[in-house]
Amino acid sequence: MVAPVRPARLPLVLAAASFTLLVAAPLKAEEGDYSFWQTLVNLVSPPKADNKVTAAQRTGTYPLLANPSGFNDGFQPGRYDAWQTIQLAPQTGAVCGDGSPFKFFVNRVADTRNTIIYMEGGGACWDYASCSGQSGIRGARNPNGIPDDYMGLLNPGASLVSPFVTRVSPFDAVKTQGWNMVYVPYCTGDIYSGDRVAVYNDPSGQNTPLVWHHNGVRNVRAVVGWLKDNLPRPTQMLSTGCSAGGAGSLTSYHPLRRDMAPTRSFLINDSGPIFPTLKNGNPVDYPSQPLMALIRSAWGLDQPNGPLPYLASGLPQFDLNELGTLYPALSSKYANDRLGHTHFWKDLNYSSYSYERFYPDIANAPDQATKEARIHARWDVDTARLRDRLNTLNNVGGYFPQYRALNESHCTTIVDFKNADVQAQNLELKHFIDSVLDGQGKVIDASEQDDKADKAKPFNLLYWLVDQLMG
Amino acid sequence: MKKLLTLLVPCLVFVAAVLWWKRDDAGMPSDARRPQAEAPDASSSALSSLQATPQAQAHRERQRFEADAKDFFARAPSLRAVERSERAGRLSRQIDRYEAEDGLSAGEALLLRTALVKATVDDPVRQAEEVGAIADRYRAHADQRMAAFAAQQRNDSRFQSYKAREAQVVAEVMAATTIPAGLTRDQYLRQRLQQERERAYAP
Repeated sequence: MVAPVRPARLPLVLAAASFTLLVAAPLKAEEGDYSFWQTLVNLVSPPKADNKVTAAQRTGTYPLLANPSGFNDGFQPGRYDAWQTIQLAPQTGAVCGDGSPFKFFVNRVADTRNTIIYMEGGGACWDYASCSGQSGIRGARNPNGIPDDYMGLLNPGASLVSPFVTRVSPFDAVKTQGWNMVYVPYCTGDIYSGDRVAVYNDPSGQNTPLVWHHNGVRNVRAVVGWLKDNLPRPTQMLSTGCSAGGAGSLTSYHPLRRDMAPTRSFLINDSGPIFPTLKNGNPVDYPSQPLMALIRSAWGLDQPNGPLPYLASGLPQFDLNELGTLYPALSSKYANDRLGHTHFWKDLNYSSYSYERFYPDIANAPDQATKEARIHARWDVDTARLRDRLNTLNNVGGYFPQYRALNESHCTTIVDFKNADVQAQNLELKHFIDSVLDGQGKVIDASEQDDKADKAKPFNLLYWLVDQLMG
Repeated sequence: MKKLLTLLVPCLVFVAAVLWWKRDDAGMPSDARRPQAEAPDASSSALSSLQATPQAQAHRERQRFEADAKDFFARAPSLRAVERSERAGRLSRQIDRYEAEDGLSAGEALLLRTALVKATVDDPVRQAEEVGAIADRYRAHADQRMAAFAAQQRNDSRFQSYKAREAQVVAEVMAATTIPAGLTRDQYLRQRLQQERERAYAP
């Protein structure tokens, strides 16, 4: 029985109760946030890993391998709100395409367990010309490895910085800006999905063969292992990225989500589609078929116990004869997760990678307009099929605006979340992102019919700047 | 009134206790919870001590910076010119500081500086000039650093040692007529090069 409070002591009791409420309540109303009190404690005594790699996870196919004892990975647990470079030793299985050491970047905060894993975009490569960084060919980012001070450099990837990996975006707010951030750089040219050391001969015969490590799967596994061994388990986790990073966030989602084991998990694949494409389908019906056939071989995707068999072993609905089944397979496996895919109908970048070097009528087009029209026509076929598929999935939304005057309409979530609207449905990209991260019920599906309204928009200084930097 | 308070106070204490109990992560497995030793008694003196640490002070400063920046960009058009200029100058100095401390990536700092120009310069031609100058500065810095990185790679004995062995191992594996241990040629090549990297980077 509770004794009545004497009026004279009421202010004291109320103050004590208020104080207790203050220190106990999370700073923000987000699942996974620490209390005010705990945040202060974390600042001086950083929370330790509580979901470490198990002995079983360190063996088998694509194990989670740690740095050797005594290796200095560079991590300072108490260094908050700063980009830290995490070094991965060869023993983790990680390596960049050129054979140099792989590393990634962590920006830790004290007030939440929630974590965003952002995979950098940057093209793809599958032969000597594209992997050696030859000019005039669309290739892959960072062919010479990753410098330690990468986050402090204005490389093309950084100039395409997304509000997802900024703390103080001047243009857009999203809840992940307050989360722990993990930035996974891209240096393997394989959309984080390959596992093969390729030896590409110089077609001119003038140079020695290029030895290229399509090591994306193992790099991501090494990152996951390090995160588990060094940081608390995320309560909420978003895996995202644009272009190759978007594709990588999709292809790595199952093992990442399984092993990180967040309470709530989200995926936003920005402009890295894996289109529904029959393995031996007719390219007239399945325009991405030639690309997919090539990369399956070049990146070692189908090798015994390789990336695709590994994925399929954990995703019963993933059909290796049709890789676009990854979306329904994830939807079914993780029915309580909220997943999203977005890209522009007029994307001229990923589409060029997909078709330009596979279709002579594109390569030999008489002019740029014809070339672009032929690329767009094939992209429309692929996109329509993906849109229709995603429409059938409750927890996977598809958001397809038409055009943005930035980076060849490639990537909806870079620089800002603006101008990726679907005007006819009164939707902005942010509605879609919020639907993934905070929505209930079916994730938003939206598709824009034409680009007239988008192309009528006024000049945008910021977009101009970014395009200058990219040029 | 007295009756109401008699009911209210225990309720407040109860709610506080529930919040305290659930403060970290309701979905976390019980064996993964932080040890209670890390959640000291919530006394006001302990709180004062924690709030006085350099880490807490830095944390508050950072939060203030982020809040100021967000507020500025949201309200810049409605601010008087003098106040807008002063606040932009203050933010610019803080961006300098946090960027130097790795608290902002180059991409994020560039976006913030661009937004400051947009917020404080009305003339579109001057806006473009100033933004262009910022971009040139960042690009020059990146070019310089990437050149330094390339030189570092060229002079890294471990990397060069590995690359030399890489070429030899590739030639050997490609020429091999049999591949051991039931591996495919690709798997064997990867395994051999993995061993070479471990050897080259051994302490």
